[in-house]
Amino acid sequence: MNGKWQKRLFLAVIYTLVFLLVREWLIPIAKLTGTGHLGLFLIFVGLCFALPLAGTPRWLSASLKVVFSAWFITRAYLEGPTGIGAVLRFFAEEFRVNTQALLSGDFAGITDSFRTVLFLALIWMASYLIQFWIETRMSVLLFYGMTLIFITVLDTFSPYRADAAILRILVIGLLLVGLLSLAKLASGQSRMPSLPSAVLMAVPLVLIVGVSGALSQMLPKSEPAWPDPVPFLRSLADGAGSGGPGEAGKIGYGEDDSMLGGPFIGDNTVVFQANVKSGQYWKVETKDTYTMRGWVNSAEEQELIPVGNGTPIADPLLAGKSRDEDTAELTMTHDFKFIVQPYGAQEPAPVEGVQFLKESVTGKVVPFRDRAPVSLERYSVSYSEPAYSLTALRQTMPDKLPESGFERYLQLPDELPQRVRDLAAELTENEPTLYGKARSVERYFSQNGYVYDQLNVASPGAGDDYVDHFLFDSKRGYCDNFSTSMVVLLRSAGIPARWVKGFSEGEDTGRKGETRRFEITNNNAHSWVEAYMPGVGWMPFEPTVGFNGAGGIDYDLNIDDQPEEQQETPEQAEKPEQQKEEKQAAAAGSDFWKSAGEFFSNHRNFFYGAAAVLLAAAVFAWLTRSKWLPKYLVARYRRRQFDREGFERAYGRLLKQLRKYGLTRADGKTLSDYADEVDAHFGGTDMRRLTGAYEENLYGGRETVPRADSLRESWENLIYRTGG
Amino acid sequence: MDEQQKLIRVIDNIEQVMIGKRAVAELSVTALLSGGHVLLEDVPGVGKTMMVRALARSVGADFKRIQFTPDLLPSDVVGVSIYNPRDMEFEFRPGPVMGNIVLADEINRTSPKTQSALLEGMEESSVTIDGKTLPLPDPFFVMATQNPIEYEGTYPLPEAQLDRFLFKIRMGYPTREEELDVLRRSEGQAPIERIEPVLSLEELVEVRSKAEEVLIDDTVKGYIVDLAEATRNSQDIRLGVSPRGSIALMKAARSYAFLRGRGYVTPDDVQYLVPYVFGHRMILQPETRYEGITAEELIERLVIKTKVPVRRAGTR
Repeated sequence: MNGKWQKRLFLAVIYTLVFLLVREWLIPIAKLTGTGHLGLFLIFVGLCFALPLAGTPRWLSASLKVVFSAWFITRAYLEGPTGIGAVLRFFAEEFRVNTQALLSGDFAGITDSFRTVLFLALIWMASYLIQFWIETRMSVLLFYGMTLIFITVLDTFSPYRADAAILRILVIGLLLVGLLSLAKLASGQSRMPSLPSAVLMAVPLVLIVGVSGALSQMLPKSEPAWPDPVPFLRSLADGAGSGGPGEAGKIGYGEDDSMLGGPFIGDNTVVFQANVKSGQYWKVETKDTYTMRGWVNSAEEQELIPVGNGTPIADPLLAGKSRDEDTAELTMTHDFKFIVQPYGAQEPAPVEGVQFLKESVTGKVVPFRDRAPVSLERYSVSYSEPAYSLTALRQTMPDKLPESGFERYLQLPDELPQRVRDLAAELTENEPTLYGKARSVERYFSQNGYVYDQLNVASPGAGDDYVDHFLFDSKRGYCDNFSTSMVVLLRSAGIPARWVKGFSEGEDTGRKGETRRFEITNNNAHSWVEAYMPGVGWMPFEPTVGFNGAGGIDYDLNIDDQPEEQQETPEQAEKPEQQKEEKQAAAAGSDFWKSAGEFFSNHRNFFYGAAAVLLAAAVFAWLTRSKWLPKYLVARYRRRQFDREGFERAYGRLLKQLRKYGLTRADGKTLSDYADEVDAHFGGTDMRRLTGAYEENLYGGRETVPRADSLRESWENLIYRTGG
Repeated sequence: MDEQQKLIRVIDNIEQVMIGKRAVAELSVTALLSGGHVLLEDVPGVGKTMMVRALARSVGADFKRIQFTPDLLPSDVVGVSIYNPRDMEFEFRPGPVMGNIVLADEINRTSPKTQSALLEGMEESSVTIDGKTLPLPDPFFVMATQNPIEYEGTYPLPEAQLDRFLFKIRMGYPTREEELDVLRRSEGQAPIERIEPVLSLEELVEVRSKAEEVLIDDTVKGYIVDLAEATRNSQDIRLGVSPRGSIALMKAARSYAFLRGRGYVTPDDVQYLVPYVFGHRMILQPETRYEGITAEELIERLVIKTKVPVRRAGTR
C-alpha cells in the first residue's frame, strides 16, 4: 500500500471521528430547537467530509452538495405533487417570500426551508474550517474545546442532558487529538511509517483512551462539591430570595386553573395541526373569577347554545370590519373534548351525528354525540378574522360602559393588595379612552423589565397574591402570570376583562398553495386577555413578553383625524433643530478645536462605540493573526519582484514569521544550521534551498536571484506553514 | 578535474592512511592552501607522520622530518656551511627545513633557540645562516607536533610563537571500528606506498592564488572581528586574540570555503574554524584553567553568544 492511500485511510479515520463530533453538535441543536430531519443533516455533514477525501473535484462536490440540499428542502417542505414544475414553482415562491422578508428586515418572517438552507450553508463552511484545522494545522484542539464548552453550557443552562454526550465527546476528542499528534510526529520523520507500524503506534493511544473512558464511566461519582450555580446566579441577579421553585409541572392545556404558578418544563408533543391562511390564536374558553391563586368559573350551570347552521360561534363585531371568510382545517392528535376557535370563528363544518354546543359563559364549544361530549379527530371551522375599528376604539370613553351586565368581569378578591390597585390607577390615569388604558397596561410589562421564563418561576408563598407576587416580587414568569396580572390590573382600573385560554399559533411547517400548515404543540398552550371595549366588543390583548397577540386593528381613521396626531411631531422636532443650529453658529465663531470638542461630546456615545468596536476588531485581528497574516504576506509579496532586494526582504520576513511560529534561532546559530532545523520540523527542503540562495546573495555578493519562481514557491510553502 | 576536486582527492588520499581523521586532513589541506602551518598536539603513535607523508606524496612535494631533541642545534635545522678544503670555500649544506613539507616532531623537546630557528623560517619564509638570508622553498608547510603529556625537560612554546601556527589541532584516538580498520590495513603493503600524486607543486601554487580570490563579505569580516573582540572582552580570558589572529581566521576561512567549492565565505566556515585558529592564541585566566575549562570550550561559549550576521548591513 503506498503512502498516498495510507494517508487517505488515516484521514478517513480522522474524519469519521470528526463526523461523530459534529453529530454531538447537531443532536442538541435539533433537540432544543425542534428541528427535524437530523438524519438528512448528518448525511450532508458526511458529504462535506467524504467528498474531498475521495478526491472529488471541487466543482463536482459543490454541485453534489447543492443538489442534495435542494432534494432535502423539497423532501422536507414540499407537499403534494413533486413534479419538476411543482418543485420549480415551490423554489420560486420560497425565493420570493424570503427575499421579501429579508429586504423588509422581517427576519422572523423567513420560512423554515430558508432557515434550513442557511443552516446547511453554515455546516458547509464549518466543514471547510475543520478541514483546514486537520489538514493544514493538524490540530483540532480548538474545535474539541469548543465542542466541550458548547455541550457543557447546554447541559448547565438548557434542558438538554449531556451525560452520555460528554463521555462520547471525551473519547472521540481524545482519540482525535492523539491521532493527529501522532501524525504530526510522523510528519517530522523523513519517511512515512508503514501501515502496520502506524497502526501499532495508535494502539496504546486507543487502549489508554478506551480504558480510561470505561473506567471513568464505571467508577462511582461523588456528588458535586458545589451546588448547581445556575439558580444561585439567577437569585443573585434578581436580588431577592424568593421561594425556591417548586415541583416543575409539564406544560399543556389543563382544565384546572385554580392553582397557578410554579415552573414548567417544555413539551414538544404535537397536539393538533391547523391548515390556515395565516397564524392564528386558538381560543378554547374564558374564565371570569380570580381567586388570588388562579381562575375558576363563576357559573355553576351554563346555558348550552347550539352553534352552526347560521349561528356564529363568536359574537359579531359591533364596529370595524371582518376580513373575508376563511376556513381552518384542524387535525387533532390529542383527545380534546372541545374545538379550538380562531378569532372571528363563524361556524364549524357539520359533522355527521355531532352537535356543537357553546357554553354561554366560558365560550367553550363542545361537540356532543348522543348527549355526551366527544373529541373530534378532524374538523374545520370557518372564520373571518376581525379587524377592530380604530375610530371606534378612540371613542371608548369610560362613561360609555353599560351600567350592568359586566359585574362578573369586574370581580376582584377583597384581599387584593392595595399596591396592585395603585399601579392600575397610575398606569391608566393619563389615558382618556378605555382602549388607551388597556394598551397602556399591556405595554407596561415589556417596558419594565418583566422576563418570560417557564423554568425558574417561583410559586407565591401561602397567603400571597399570585398577581401581586409577579408584579412586584418575581417579575419573571410565563403567559399565565402576564395575562392574569393584566386582567386584574384592567379590572382594578374599571375595565371589564376576562382571562382567555387556548393555544398560540404554533410552528409554520410548510405550505400548500395559499394555506400554511401549523403544528401546535403542548408548548403552545397559552393564555391571554380579552377586554370589553364599548362600541367594539370583546377584544384580545397580549401582555406576555415575546408574543404577538391575535386580531388586527383596522386603521379606519378619517383623513381629517390624521393631522391631529401628526401635527405634534413636527413641532416637537423643530425645537431641538433650532437649538442645534444656534449652537453650531456659536461654535463657528470660536475656534475650530472647540467645535471639534463639542462635536465629539455631542456624539460621545458614537465615538466610544466606534472606539470599542475598533479596539475589539484590533484585538480580534491580533489574536487571530497567525491565521490571516501568512495569507496577507503571500498576497503582499506576490506583488513584489523577487530581485535581490525583494528576495532578501522576503527572507527576512520569513525569519520573523518562523520566530513567531516558535522556531527561534539562537544568536550564535548560522542560517544554514537553522535551515536544517526548520526543515527537520516541517519536512522538506524548502528552507535549505531558500537559505542557500540567500547566503549566496548576502555573503557571496551575488546581485541576481536565479530561479526566483521556485524560490517563491518554497517561500510561500513555508509562510503558509507558519500559519499552522 | 578542477582544482577543488583535486584537493578533495588529496584529502581522500590522506584519509586512506589516516582512517577516520578526515577533519584533520581537511584542516591540514586548508592550512596548506592558506600558506599557514599546523601544530598537532597529540600523544605519539596516532599517525601524525603518516599523515604528513601522505599529504606530501599527494602534492608531489619534498618531505622532510626533523625529530627535535634537547641537544638539537639551530644549524641542525636550517643547515650549515662547511669548509670544503678542496674548493677552499664554505659550502652550504641545507638542513631539513629546506623542504616543501616539513614534519617537526616533538617541537617542545628542543631548546628555545632551536625552536626559534624553525619559527623564523615559518614566519619569514626564509632562514638566516651565517648572516646570509636564504629563501625557503615555495610552498613551505610545517606540521609540528607536541606531546601534551610530558612536561619534564620540555620547553613549552611561548604564546607569541604559537601565533606562528595557523591551526592547533588535536587528533585523538581512533574509535574502535577505525582502529580495527587500521590493523587490517597495516597487514599488507603500507597504504602510504599506494598513494599517487594528485597535484603538482606548480598546480598547488596556482590553486593557492585562486583560493585567495574567494570573496569574504564585510558582514562576515564583521563577524570575525566580533568573535575576536568577544575573546578580548571575556572575563575568563586574560589575553584575547590579536588582530593577527583575526587575519589568520579570515585567510583560513577563505581556503576552507574554496575547499568546500564555494566562491564566498559564510559564517558557517568561520564558526567551524574558529576553535582551531583562536584556541592557541589566547591565554586563559588562571582560575578558569584551574576549573578545567579548556580554551576550546570557552570559544564554543563565545560562538553561541556572538550574533551571526544574517542581514545586509544597513537593512533592518
